[in-house]
Amino acid sequence: MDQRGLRNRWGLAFMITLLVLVVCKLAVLQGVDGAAYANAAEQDRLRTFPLDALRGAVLDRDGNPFAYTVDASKVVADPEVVADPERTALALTTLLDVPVPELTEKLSRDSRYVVLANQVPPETTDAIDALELPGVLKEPDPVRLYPAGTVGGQVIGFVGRDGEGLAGIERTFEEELAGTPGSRRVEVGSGGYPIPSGIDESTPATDGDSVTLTLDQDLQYVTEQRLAESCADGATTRASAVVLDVRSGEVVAMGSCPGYDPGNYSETDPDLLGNPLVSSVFEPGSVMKAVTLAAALEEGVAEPGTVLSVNGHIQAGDRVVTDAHDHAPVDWTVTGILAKSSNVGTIMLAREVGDEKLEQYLRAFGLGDTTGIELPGESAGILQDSEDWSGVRAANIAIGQGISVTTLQMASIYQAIANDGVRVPPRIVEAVTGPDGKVTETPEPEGTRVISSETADKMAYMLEAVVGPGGTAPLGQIEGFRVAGKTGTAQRANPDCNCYEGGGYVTTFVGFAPADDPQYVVAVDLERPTSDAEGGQVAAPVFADILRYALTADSVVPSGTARPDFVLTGTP
Amino acid sequence: MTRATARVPVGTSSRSTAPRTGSTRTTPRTTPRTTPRSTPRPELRLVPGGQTARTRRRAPRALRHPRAPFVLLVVAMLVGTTLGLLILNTAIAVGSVEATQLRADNAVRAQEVQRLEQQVVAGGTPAEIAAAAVAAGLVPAGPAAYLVIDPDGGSVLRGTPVPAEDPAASEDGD
Repeated sequence: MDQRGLRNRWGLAFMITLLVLVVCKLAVLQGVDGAAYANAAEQDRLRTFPLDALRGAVLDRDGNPFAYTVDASKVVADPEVVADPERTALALTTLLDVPVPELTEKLSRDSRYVVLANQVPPETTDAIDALELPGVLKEPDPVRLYPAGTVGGQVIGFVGRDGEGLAGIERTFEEELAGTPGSRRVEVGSGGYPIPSGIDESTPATDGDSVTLTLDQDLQYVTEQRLAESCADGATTRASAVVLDVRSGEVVAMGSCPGYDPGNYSETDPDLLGNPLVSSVFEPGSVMKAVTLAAALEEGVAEPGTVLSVNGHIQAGDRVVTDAHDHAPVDWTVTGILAKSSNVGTIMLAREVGDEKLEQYLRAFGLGDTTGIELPGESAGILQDSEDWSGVRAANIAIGQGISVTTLQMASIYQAIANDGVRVPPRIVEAVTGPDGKVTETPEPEGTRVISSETADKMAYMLEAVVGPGGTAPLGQIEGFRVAGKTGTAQRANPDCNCYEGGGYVTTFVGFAPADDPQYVVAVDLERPTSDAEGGQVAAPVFADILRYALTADSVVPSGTARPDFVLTGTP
Repeated sequence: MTRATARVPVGTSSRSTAPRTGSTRTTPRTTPRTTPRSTPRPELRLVPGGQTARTRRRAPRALRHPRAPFVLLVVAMLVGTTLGLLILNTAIAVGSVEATQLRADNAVRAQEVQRLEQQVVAGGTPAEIAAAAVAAGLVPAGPAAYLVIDPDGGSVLRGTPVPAEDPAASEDGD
């Protein structure tokens, strides 16, 4: 009885100890580590699918797409699972348009992940799915499409392989266009189907905003077609043009040749992948005389009818500057000086204005500073302080040499003259539209008055004389409309020697119409290293063709008044 | 005496009614207590042999209420519940599969929409329209004239209309 009692007691103690141990372990499993184990089990059943954000579109002012994104897939394979690389390659070769040896090589690699083809359209991936090839899978790989091709390409820019904007609007508005990717977490059963009562939580992706530009796709197309024609003439190596809306300063068209197709940027010469209209500078030549003369009128130095005895050449520092062709003294009015594009007359007037004042006007017209347009890589151009101007430099700057500008800056000067003397910095983005349809309009930049309204009117009159009889650019005329503008033929710096020898010319034409109620400003510049043809001959017709289309397409009513008679010469 | 007897019921009734809902609770508590106490006592007194009494009581019950129907009922309920659960589960699973399929169908439709939209966009680019216009024998329009209505009601013709070029003579694509 005693022994049995002792055994029972020990047995009981043993059982209790065991029970306590079990309970303790249970408590640890359930209470302390429980959450972690439950979590691990759940993670095993959870699948996370990324939800891609659709990149926003880039549209023209009427909503026509310049760039948009569509769904596509990347076809990938797990070579360890692929049973027969040769047969799989044969089945995929026509669908993916990849040669059999390349596919076979990829499918035989000692790897668990190979990319067979990128950006495959949905129809093709459906066909591949139907083949039920083991180890061949697809992953989302959206495609950026540029339906207009080269049209507007330099402005729009492009995205890289990872879908990030690398140039143009795609780069400036990367943050807005990209959107925010989301994800979906689902608890799945053995068949891969979601468990109906299981976890199903998703963070929806926020699609990117779309960017509406001020460009007009049709005018952009016509502009680029016309420039391409110039580039095909054998002498022009680069032709650029920009069209601005006079009142708002909006860029309606902007392009140059040679351009590029953003959808095919990888096969384009990297040197061409910029936007020369905002990033390349050149010496503008005579188109800059408008600034010098506007300064002269505004400062009260001269009037359009003021007569000057203009010689064929003038001493400037240690150099002699001549007119295009040296001539005996002529009694030209200030209008005549502009119409005939006299270097000597312009320098005479610039000296009356003074270097410091002239620099002030040049800067007020936006030179030597970026315009602030929403495009990457904008150049400020080159404008030295007037304190550093030598005698010859001062004379040269008055006639547009020794100063560098972009095509856009050049257009902006004439926008100010056409807009009654108020300069509105050019802009190219009209609005940003969120995926919810909320439109955020780009604030209109504030205009600054550069010259008085009277001076602007006088400038318009004088610039009209350039296109009129006796002017340098009768080819800039547009039937039915009064046109004002200015030619330029500047020596081009030869990049090989950093001198003017062998550099050829940059011929320019900038102007606006209708002169009595300006609507559009067009600036054209052609780089012609091997030709000495003048702006009036080669740039003015391009200007007229582009401006004619802009006016006609916008249903601008032809001028109601006749062109005034211009007094180009007189007696002092 | 009368004071004391009067106080006690007032105290108890006020305690029970105030927090809970009444005297009903006190009555059922008291009744079951009294009944079991009162019933077994006479039974124990009447029959001293406990074992025989149990067998005597059990045997007629088993005869009167056989176990089989109850077991059958339990089994039937179990089977029914299991089947019901199975059907419910299957229905939900079918729904889930259907939802997945519908989602896939939706994706196919979305693809179709995307493909068609792409066609529309590709056909609407300036270059495509220009090419289609040339193919249709169209030429760019010449300058148009405008009739401008003056505030006084008269009209002025602005511009000189020029007829478009002969399509046969024009080679220009734009």
